[in-house]
Amino acid sequence: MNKTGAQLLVEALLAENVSMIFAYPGGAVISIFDELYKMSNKIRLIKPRHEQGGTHAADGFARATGKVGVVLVTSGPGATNTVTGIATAYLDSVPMIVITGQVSTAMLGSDAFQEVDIIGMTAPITKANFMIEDITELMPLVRKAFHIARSNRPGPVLIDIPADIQTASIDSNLIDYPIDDPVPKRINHSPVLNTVIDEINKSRRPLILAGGGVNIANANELLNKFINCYRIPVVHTLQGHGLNPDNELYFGGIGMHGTCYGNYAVQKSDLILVFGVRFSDRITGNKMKFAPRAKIIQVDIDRAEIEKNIKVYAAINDDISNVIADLLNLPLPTADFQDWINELNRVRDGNQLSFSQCNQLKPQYLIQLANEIFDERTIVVSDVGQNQMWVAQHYRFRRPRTLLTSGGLGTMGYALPAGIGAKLGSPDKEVLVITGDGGFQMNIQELVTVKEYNINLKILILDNHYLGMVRQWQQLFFEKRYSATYMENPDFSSIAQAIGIAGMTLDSTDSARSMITQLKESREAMVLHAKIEPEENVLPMVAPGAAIDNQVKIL
Amino acid sequence: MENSEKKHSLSLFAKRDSRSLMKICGLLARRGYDIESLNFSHIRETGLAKPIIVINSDREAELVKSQLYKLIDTVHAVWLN
Repeated sequence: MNKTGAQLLVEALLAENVSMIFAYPGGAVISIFDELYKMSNKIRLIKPRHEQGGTHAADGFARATGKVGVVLVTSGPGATNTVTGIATAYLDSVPMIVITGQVSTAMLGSDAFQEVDIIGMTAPITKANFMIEDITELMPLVRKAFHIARSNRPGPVLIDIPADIQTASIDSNLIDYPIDDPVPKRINHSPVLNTVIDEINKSRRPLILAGGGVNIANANELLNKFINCYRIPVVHTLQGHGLNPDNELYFGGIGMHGTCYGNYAVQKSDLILVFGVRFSDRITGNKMKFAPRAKIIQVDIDRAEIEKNIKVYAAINDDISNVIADLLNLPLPTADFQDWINELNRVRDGNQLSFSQCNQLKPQYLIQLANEIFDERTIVVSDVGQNQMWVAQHYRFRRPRTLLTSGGLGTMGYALPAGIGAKLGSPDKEVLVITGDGGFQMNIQELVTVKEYNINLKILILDNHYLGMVRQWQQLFFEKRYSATYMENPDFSSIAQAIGIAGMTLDSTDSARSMITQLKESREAMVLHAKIEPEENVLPMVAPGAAIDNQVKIL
Repeated sequence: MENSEKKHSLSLFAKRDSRSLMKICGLLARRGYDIESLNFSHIRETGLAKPIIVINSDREAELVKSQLYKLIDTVHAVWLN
């Protein structure tokens, strides 16, 4: 039976169990949209107001559910608008498929209308990308793209499909279509696992450092079990949130805005077991002074991450879940680390996260309130900057995949569209978007998407009339020369109302609890515009290039 | 200042098209490896090319090897010498 490229593409997507696509139509993908129209009972199309919003939504969908997010856009500007979203997903290892239309093969290279070399542009920010130049390759390549996107260390994959491939037809019986993903081989790590146990027994101040890889590998439960069996204290990176913060062995986040006691633990430790961490500069500070006393044992599924940034004593290149499961099968170490745990508890007691209480509305207080009022299954999507760091410091994430944030690329404008994707992917969970006034305005058009699809999204805007993190740096390092960081902002609740979404304004501490409760209880989307203290800072802070225990605690 | 840069010779099997040449060179460029010489020749009737690249770097050669392997679908094998 003859089928067109567009039909084969939709079939291939259905074979991958795709039920939702974040898609923005255009001339070079019109045949695909026509096929999707006929399949609308099987694949739901969510149309953002801008392709960047579509990619962040697919990213939020993928991070919240662990499934692959799918984006479909047209050629040229449609394709270039996805670049920021693809890079965001790449840096945080998010599985995503981006399908772009392309001009017909006969016109390639002629600077045709809406022609752009998206393969060349996205090569550095995709796990793989390819143009489909022959209709017989279409289904196998889509299959392969999904496999690449979700296997090993996940990431975005882009497929560029010229318009004539979409309309060409072929006898579908002639297509050689692989059915099964190759099964990864189990690796025997016995020698190095024995080294790990020996080193734990020899150490006096061991520490576990958990990164985003733990969430991606769905290894939180195993890691918690490991922590409790071995009685080793744990700290984590921004993407490593989701362990049990009530555990007495939990010592918070580390890095530039990490807790004093978390950073202290790293700097004093003599053995750090690292799971799924890429040692970003925001975590290590000055690399020469990072964990100066520790032997580091690194576990990562990506071979290229091992020793990329930090020299390690030993490494295991495998899936974190497998490695922890293997470790749990070995005899427990005999060493006892209670003195070390007591020392860390004393440092914690003397250095709790705090903020000054005054008449002004404090963002940290709002986040603590939200943490109290929203239940622990709630997915919090933060934007980038001060709001992100306050969320990381003051919200207590008790479950995996409950903090979605652009950590690697630091993409302002991420929160609102990613929240849309998270809610559509997990309709049974509450989704709370916490954003700043700057980031909210970067993708503010997606509020209309929230309205169009009646997405029950709760949006808390922390408005300090500044691009706050840059302003904080200007205050600290540039003698308060606030160059271009002041923001003249609109009334966000009026904007929400004009779109048909409930909007409220919060400007006093007294009404904070009742308004955040209203935000939680609302059965429809709601925007809460909180006017917070303009010059509040994120503290503690490590200056760029300093050692991570050299923290600024007060200004 | 002492120059710690070393020459590494890489020999690869890669997909035979100009995109794969672009991806290999792009990766080396953005990771800060200076290309000293490059040969990209096709192997007949295999769909493969055999790039031979000499790079300058003060970093361990193993690191570039593991980065090159991340070009899934482009690079199939890497030898260092």
